[in-house]
Amino acid sequence: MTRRRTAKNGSLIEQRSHKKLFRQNPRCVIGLLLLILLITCSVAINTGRFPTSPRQICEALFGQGDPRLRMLLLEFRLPRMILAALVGFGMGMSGSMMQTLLHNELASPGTLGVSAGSGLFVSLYVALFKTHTSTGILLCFAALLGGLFSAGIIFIISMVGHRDFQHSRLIMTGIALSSAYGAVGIILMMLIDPNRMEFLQRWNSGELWGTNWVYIGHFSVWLLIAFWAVYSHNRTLDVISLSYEMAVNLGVELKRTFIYLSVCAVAMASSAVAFGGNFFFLGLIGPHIARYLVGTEAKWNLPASAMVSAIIVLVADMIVNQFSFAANIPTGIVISVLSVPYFLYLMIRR
Amino acid sequence: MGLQKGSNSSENRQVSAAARFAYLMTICGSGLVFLSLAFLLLGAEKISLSDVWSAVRAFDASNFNHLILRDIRLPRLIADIIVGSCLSVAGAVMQGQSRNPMADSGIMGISAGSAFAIVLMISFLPNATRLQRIGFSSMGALLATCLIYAIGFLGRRGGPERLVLAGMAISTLFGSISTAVMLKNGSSAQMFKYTAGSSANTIWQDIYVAAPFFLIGAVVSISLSRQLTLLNLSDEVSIGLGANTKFIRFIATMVVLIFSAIAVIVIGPVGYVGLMVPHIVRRFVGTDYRYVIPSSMVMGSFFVVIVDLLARVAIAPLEFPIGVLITVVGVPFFIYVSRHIRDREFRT
Repeated sequence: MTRRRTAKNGSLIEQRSHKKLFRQNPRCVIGLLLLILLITCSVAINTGRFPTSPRQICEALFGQGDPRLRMLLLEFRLPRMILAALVGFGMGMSGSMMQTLLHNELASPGTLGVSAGSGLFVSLYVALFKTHTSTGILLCFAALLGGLFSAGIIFIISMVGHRDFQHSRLIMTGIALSSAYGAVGIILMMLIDPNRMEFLQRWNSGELWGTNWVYIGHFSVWLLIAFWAVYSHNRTLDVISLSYEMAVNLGVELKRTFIYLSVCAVAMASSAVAFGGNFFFLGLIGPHIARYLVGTEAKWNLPASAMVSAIIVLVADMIVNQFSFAANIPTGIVISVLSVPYFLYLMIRR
Repeated sequence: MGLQKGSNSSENRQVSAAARFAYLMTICGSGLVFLSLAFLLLGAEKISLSDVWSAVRAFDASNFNHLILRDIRLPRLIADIIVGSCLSVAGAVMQGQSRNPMADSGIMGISAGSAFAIVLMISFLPNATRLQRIGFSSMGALLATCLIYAIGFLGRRGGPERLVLAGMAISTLFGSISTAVMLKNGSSAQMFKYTAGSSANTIWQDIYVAAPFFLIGAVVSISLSRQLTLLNLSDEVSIGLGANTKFIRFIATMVVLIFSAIAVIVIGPVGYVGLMVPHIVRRFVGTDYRYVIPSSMVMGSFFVVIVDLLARVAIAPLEFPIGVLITVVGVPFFIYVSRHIRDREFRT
């Protein structure tokens, strides 16, 4: 399948030769990514303002050692690390699915405005009910609602105009919409509770804020369900990635599957947004790197995108923690600064 | 669009466009006068018309209302008028010289570049004068412009959408670095302006510095309007009629840079005005830039003043950042333009 797709786009054939090694051994690549992820995690847990040694960390994890250190690790670093990885998983898979479903390589939760839409609902929910803890699942649903709302809007807009998703116009609309959601968020926030403006500002630039074991529990369950729901359809995703006509000819019930898979993709992205914040370009570059490594087959591409994105978030968070400049800069800013050049490169290349 | 309705002979078209221009200028001009009055009267502190009149005739420094008028509302009103004109004319000139219907200094990231430069300057050179601030602001705008055009140039198939996307990405980049710098140095109200856009806290010094540049830019852009009309048709026509396209492009770009720099200094990075106003204006007066530029000035001021009035009055004594309100209005318009306006209407 991969071969047929690349043969269609003549320009990709040449690039294929040096990617061949990766693509023929997707299992090895996944294993390698897992290894890198683990290494990144173990480095990430060691970075921060208080230096810790690997031995101390092992002791703390197994319930021994200095109780203060254990608290530092179990209440601050570990949840933050896991949250970062989970956000990466959610955004990466969601971006990969959106790119496949829409046949648009610039699509992602950020550039389609989906994450800004869910963020709008989440921040409103937080401002209106002033909730903390114990309502993680409700938060997820608020985010999902917002994500579906914004996905619906961009879908309707793109259908009204030219009935295609492949154009950069779709992405332009998405980015514009996402700035509008941000603006509406600020307006509503000022009406409800002006004191929470800084939360909104930080959220908007992508801060890992839901570092709390209850949230993480909800988040991981939610993500696991969504992942299972998608992964059982990985063959369908492959067929859709060829073309819509082909999918219909091969017996896919296109409308229903499309909606089902989009809802799953939105669900993944919106939960990541609910607990992580608005990571604008994350869902875009993770899947790109994954596609470079393992090709477009969903069976390998989905986990690879998830892991690559998780690694990106972890590294960004590590940079923030290490050079936080005592200001607690949102992680998303680092990701934006790192990924905008890539985005521009994509634009130049095509 | 309105033009096709008129008669076929070019003479009639000319008359009709001029008439429309006069009509538009009269309506927007008188609307602007009324709005300005409302702007001075309304707000957290209601001020009566007689107070305004007495402040004009005999200013009394011990009268609280007079002080509000002189030191808070009047500079703010003038700032809004200047910014509205600047943004709209910058948009009109950009759209004309690049023949890109989506061009706007805010959307394309030029304002974000200026704001980035200013935020850097405030954090690292806190003692810089306002004149230096304009210099920095223009440098930032220049940097962003160069980046965008480099990308548009390198990407073989430029196209309006590609350029706008590149602009949005650059705008995100500058915006996020500015936010990081701001958070690092504690986000003061002065800095907040440069991410969200707000005309609160405008003081007379801002206007003293901005006004001369604004006037120069206005004169240059109006005297450039004839050439812009030609450039808007095509390079070939323009060259054939004896215009020096390179020189005109250079001057036009300079005007855009100065105007966006002024707008950012006074009010912060605000997008969409430069997109909306020229499009609406062209609906009425066609694509003759001798009419488009002056009407854009008036209409842009009108628009910004009305939005700022809304921002101040809606939740007084608090107020919305003006950039936010403009975005809410601007995005639907942007989407509409991106879907419906193709070259056909733009070139007429």
